[in-house]
Amino acid sequence: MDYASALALGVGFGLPLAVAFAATAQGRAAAAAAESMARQPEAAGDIRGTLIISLALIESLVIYVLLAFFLLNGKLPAIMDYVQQAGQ
Amino acid sequence: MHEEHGSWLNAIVHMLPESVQHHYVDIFVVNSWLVIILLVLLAWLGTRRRQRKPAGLQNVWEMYVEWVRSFCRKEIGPDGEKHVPLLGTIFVYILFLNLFGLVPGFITPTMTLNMTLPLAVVVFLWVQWSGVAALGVGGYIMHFVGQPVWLAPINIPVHVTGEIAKPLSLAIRLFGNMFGEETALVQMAALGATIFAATYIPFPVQFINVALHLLVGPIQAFIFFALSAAYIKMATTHEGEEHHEEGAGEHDEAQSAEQAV
Repeated sequence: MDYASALALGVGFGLPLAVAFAATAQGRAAAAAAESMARQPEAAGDIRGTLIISLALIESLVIYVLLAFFLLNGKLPAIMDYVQQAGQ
Repeated sequence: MHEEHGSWLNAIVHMLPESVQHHYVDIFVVNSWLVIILLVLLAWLGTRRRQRKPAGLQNVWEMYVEWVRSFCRKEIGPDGEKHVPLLGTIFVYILFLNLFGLVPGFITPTMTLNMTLPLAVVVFLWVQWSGVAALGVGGYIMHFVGQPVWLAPINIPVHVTGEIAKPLSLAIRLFGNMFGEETALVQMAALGATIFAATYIPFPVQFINVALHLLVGPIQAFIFFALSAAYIKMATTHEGEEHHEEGAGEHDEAQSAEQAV
């Protein structure tokens, strides 16, 4: 496997991997928050604030990966160059 | 090659001399100036003729200030009122910056790191300063040394790294969210153009992204604001005090359990 195909795999699979784990984590956080809101409706305001902040903290990790994705995406060779190179 | 973003202000910037526009004028900064002028105007209009029975814009500002005050009291503690000016300014400024790109012909200034990093640095400096003001120089240093004093060689680098990571993560979170949002919007608009070229049906594919932008902008502004408040709280409270609070919480729980029984 040469450099470009390894890079393409990294670019393609990095972000979905991060999204999958972060979605699991966010789902757990939201489920726990909904459960505790149902149990204690008078504390719903506090729980909602905590939920938003913790969701943002989880989300920010995905955003870091998104930035890495954009950085790596710029390093991929243009497709026509690659086709010409393969043809030679 | 000078990178350009679509904005009506480009025409104004191009009227400036070459040397000025390439070295001193950034289109994002010009947009943020517009936001500042807009906010100053709104504040001036809201407080021009103050009445005991508020109406219109004055009502909006009073509600906002009231909300920020109660938030600071709840998050930071009874001493939180003195952080209201900075935190309130940050929230409303970032909110307007985030939503400014939705006005046709303008761009979102927070989609560059150059715009978000200074905001985070301001918060960082304020957090450190209020830590010194609340705990004194000795308490501030002890905050870095940590609880078992003999662990100081490990604790100090960890705490210093953590303090530097906080503004970085604040800035990169806001920048990444806004940049990702705008990039997705541009890609969707390009897709719409492709569809139009193939089928001659104008279809606004980016519509759903614009709706998402309306949601993400305020949420990110709130997160920047709430995390700043949380960092101020962390810097201004002793580590021992948290145990007291936990103890009080347990006490309250015990009381409410008794009441429930």
